[in-house]
Order: sequence, then C-alpha cells, then structure tokens
Amino acid sequence: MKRLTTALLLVNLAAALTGNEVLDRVRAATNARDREATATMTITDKGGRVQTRTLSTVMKGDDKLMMTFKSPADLRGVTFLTTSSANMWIYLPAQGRVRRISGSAVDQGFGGSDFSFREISNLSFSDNSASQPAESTAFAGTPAWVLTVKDKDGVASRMWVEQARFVPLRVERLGSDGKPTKRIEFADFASRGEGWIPVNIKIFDLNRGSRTELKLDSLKLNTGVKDNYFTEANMKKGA
Amino acid sequence: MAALSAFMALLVGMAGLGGDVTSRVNLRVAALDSAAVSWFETRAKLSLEPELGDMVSARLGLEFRLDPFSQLTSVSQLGEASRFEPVTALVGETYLRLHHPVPGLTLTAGRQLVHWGTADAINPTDNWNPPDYSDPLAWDARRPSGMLHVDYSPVNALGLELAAKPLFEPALSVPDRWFHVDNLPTEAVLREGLVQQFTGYGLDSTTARLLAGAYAINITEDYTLPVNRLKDMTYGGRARTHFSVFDLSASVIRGYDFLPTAQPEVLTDTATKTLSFTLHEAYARRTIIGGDLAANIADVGVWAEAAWSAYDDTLPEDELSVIGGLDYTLAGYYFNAQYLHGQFPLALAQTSGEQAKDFVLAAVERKFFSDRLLLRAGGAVDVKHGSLALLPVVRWYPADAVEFDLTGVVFTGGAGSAFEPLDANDEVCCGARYRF
Repeated sequence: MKRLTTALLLVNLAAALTGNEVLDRVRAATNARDREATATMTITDKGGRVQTRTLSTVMKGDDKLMMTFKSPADLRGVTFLTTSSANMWIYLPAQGRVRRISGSAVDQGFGGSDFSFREISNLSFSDNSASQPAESTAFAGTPAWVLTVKDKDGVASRMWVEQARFVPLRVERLGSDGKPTKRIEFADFASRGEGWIPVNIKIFDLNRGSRTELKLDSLKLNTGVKDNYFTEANMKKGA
Repeated sequence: MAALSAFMALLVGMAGLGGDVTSRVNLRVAALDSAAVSWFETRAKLSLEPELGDMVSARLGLEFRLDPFSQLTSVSQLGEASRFEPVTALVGETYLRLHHPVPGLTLTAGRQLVHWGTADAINPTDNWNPPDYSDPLAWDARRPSGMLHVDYSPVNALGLELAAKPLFEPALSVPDRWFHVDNLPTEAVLREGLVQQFTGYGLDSTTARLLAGAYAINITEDYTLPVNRLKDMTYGGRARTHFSVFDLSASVIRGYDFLPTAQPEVLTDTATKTLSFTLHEAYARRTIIGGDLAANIADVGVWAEAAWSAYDDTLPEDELSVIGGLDYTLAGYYFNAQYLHGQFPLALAQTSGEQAKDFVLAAVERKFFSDRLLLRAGGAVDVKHGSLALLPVVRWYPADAVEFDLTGVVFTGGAGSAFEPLDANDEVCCGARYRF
C-alpha cells in the first residue's frame, strides 16, 4: 500500500513539476552554504594513457569556486577562480600573475582534463534554466526526470534527475546538431545533513574518446568559508 | 622512471620539496659551415616549502646553473674542475609569508617575485624584479629581489598592495658568448674621431693623422650603482578592482631603470695632447605611474597596460610605454596578438638607427594528440623598420611534468632595424625539462 502511495505521489509530481522546478529541487538537494574538498582527477585518453591530478576545491554558494592543483608538478599551484559565469581567472605560477579567462576559452580543457572551465564551474547548474516540462522516465531502473536545460550562453544539455532524492544522474551536453558531445555521470552520493553531494563525477568526451573521473577524497561542508577567501591573493597562495 | 617519480612524490609530500630541471642547447645555424653551440645550460631550481600551518608559509629556493663551456686558458688549469664545468649558485625565492593576521591581509618578507600588470609577457607596469636576460629565449624572466610586500584584499573586488625594496639590483645581461656588445670605444675609433675633428678645422688628412697620432688617449668607465640609503630605496603601491567583466588596476613605483643610461664625456687637452674619454653609466631614478585593464568582451580576452616613466634627470627623457592585446580561442587554436610601444627585450641589441619602439607581437598555438604535442608559431615585428623575430616551438609532453622542446629563433632586418644586430643569431634549440 505504501509503495502504491509513493508511486501515485510520483505520478502526481510528474504532472505538477516544470523543468525549472526540477532544477530548483536539484539545487536545493545538492546545495551547501560552502564546501571544501580534496579530489583526485583521473584522465584516460583515447589510447588508454592515464594521468592523475590531485587538487583542492573550495566552493561557496553556487557561484564562488576556487580550485588549486596539488600535483603533478607541472600543474602544482595552478589555480582557477570563478565568481560568476562571466568572471573566471587562472593563476599560473610560472607567469606569476592572474589572468582573466576569455569567453572563447571557457570550453577548453581544465588542467588537461575533459572538463571545460564552463563545466567545472557549473556543476551545481546555477546557470541553467529549463524551458520545457520535465518528463518522467526511468534511468537504469530508477524513476527519473529527464529535462532539457540551457545555460546562459544557450548551450543545451539533457539532464536525468533521480525522482526520489532530486540528485543529478546524468547530463549530456548537446552540440548544435542536437547530438551529445559530452556525457557527465554523477554517482556515490554522500548524505550531508539535508543534502546529497556527488562524490564521483565522470565526464566522457564523446568526440575525443577520452574520459575524466573526479573523485572527492575528503569533503567538509558548511565550515564558514568567507566571501573574501575568493581573492587574487589567495589564488597565489597556491598548493 | 616510475620509481623515481614515486620517490620524488614522497619527498614532495613529506618535505614540500619541489624541483624544476631544464637543459637546453642552442645551435647557431645562420651560417651552416660555421654552426656553433652558442648556449648550453642546465638549470636546476629547487624549492622547499615546509608545512607551517594555515597562518604562515615559507619558501626556500636555490638555483644552480651549469655552464659546460670550459673556462680553461692554460694547461696548468687542467686540475681545476671548476674551470671545466663552471656552476653558478643563486638564491631563488626565499621568503616568509604571513596569511591573514587580519582578514584579507598577506605579508611577505624576503626574496620574492612580485608581478604586476595584465599583458602577456611584456608588462610596462611590472618594475619590481630585475629582468634576467641570461637566457636569450626567456626574455620575460625575472630575478627575485629582497623586499617587503603587503597585500590587503578585504573583498574579491578590491586589492591593495604596498611594497618596499631596500637594495637595487640591475638586470642580468645575456652572455657575451651569445651576443657581444662593445660598451667602450676602442682607441682606434677615438683617434679616427680626432682625425675627423682636425680635418674639420681645415687640416689636410696627412697632417690631421700625424697630429692625432701624437695624442695620448685615455679610456675610462665610470659605472655607478644607486646608493643604498633609505631615501633611495624602491617603493610603491597598487590598487586593483574589478566590476562587471573588467579588471582594473592603478600603480605607482618610485625606483630605477634596470639598465644603465650611458653618457659619454670627451675632453681634449691640446696643451698636453691628451684625449680623455669617460663613459658615465648610471641607473636613472624614476617614478612610474601605471595602469592596466583586462576584460572579456564578446568572448574575446582584451587587455591594455600603460606606464609613464618620469625621470629625475633630463636624461633619459620621460617616456610612455603602452601595450594592448587580445586573445581568442577557436576550434582549439589559441590566437594572441599584442601591440607594443616601448622596449622589446630582443630589440635592446639595436645599436644604430632610431631606436625601435613599436612592435606587433603575435602567436598561434594548438595542442594535438590528447595535449601531448604543442605547436606554437610566434614572433615580433619591428613595425617601423619591418624587421622580424620568429620563435617557433614544438613541445612534446611524453609524461606528466616532462617536456621536450624543439625551438628556434630567426631574425631578419635591414640596417638600422631592431633585429639587424641579431641577424647572424638564427638558432635551432633542443631542450628538456623535468619538474617534481
């Protein structure tokens, strides 16, 4: 009886939720005031060569993000900062100065990975909106919503969201011809208070045949990160 | 290799030890029958960054430069190993840094690099650290200087910097082996000047030469460094901010030129028949007022940077240096172009004609094979004289932190142009780099 009630509730929700409402629920379900993490990034290219990077990340809200590479040595200290989708900077220790990332470069690989600057800075989907209603579907046997979202630059993606927890399961970035160019998969959700944080994020570049796995090794939420953490001076603090 | 990497990773993790080892050989190929090795150096930079907690960080940097050109001049020196492989030891960045004693404040004391400006590689507002021209292909390199630097960034949109550098350090020049400059005139040149002077007075050529030949000629160099007094130190400040898609900063520095200004003095004593030539070389005191801007406009990265140098003395003349540029990425190709009105390092060799001050710098680069191969074509054009410096790069990344370079440098230019003195310095260079 309980299952039936739940199923009826889901059907009812499916009829009631718009795409933007699903997006809002996703943001609420995966949100934290701030988060600090260390992560391992594993890049596997088309030929099977594997490269590993370690990095630290500090995020506040949906917009403020600073990521610093700890290894390998040629990336150590390279730091990426974004405070909004229009404002991204990178600090390259070899040059000793912080440089603004131009809009044309936001789709370039972040640290040689399959994540672009745009993707790594928008993993909380703060920039996205959905113009169409969400459709109820199943994703690997799990009841899910599927919706089409667009970021502020009009780049479209298809997104699958678990209905029970409102966590993202998969995002497919679509090219101008409507075919997927990249696929992002979210897994291993850790429960933190009222939210669910994906500990494992994989991105597949379907054109290049490469993939990158970003795995959080440690995660601290709501530690009270201040707004003035996200400054040029702290970017230079480095590894 | 794997074992070495694992060992290095262990060291880095335990003691904060890092290293950067480069080795490169330049082969001068302008004249193939006399191609010579013009530069061959191995540089090992080591840095130790011990874990001192969140409030304090420190860095101890050392650099060793091995120049394998033998300095042997006698059989009697064959027992002196240092003449076979001269090694120079330099102190790199070595400082103590205090983080957030009050929120947003960072204080750094010691030998450090402070970079100002937003332009790419050439920054008129960047005047804290002396240029290091010792590697002719790394013309944007700098040497760390002992100074006190304070950065106060209370919010993301505002940063204030103050710095003071008690001691002056001049630019490190390119090795004489790579490019030779005669600072002082020879006795023959000065005597020929006397001949010209006497013929100008109406003497015939033979008499003028006889008279000039009777003169004693003294050549001296009067080289002075700035005085190391409190009131003569270098100091300055900078404020930076950003709004919308614009980053802005304004700065002022009271300091010195890193290259000396040369003023010749010639005294001719007809009574004693003596010509005294003195070259006074001093580093001009100046105040530099600068500003820079970086923005993202229609997905194009743009920047501009300007500095006005006001000199205390009449020489050199006050000057404005400006650089503006843009970059754009299209289908994986990175384009970068800049216009410079000011000094371009590779043009400093210019000795004749009107000093070139206007350059267009451009580059395009692309990575291939999962970022394992970088191809870059870049160069600079002396706009007024049409002379050209080309610097193509082929870089291979076989593994993380390992690079192999095949680069080159080609100069063209007619008489009096910026790159004409380097016309015979066309080179092919092979290098390797490993970082841990």
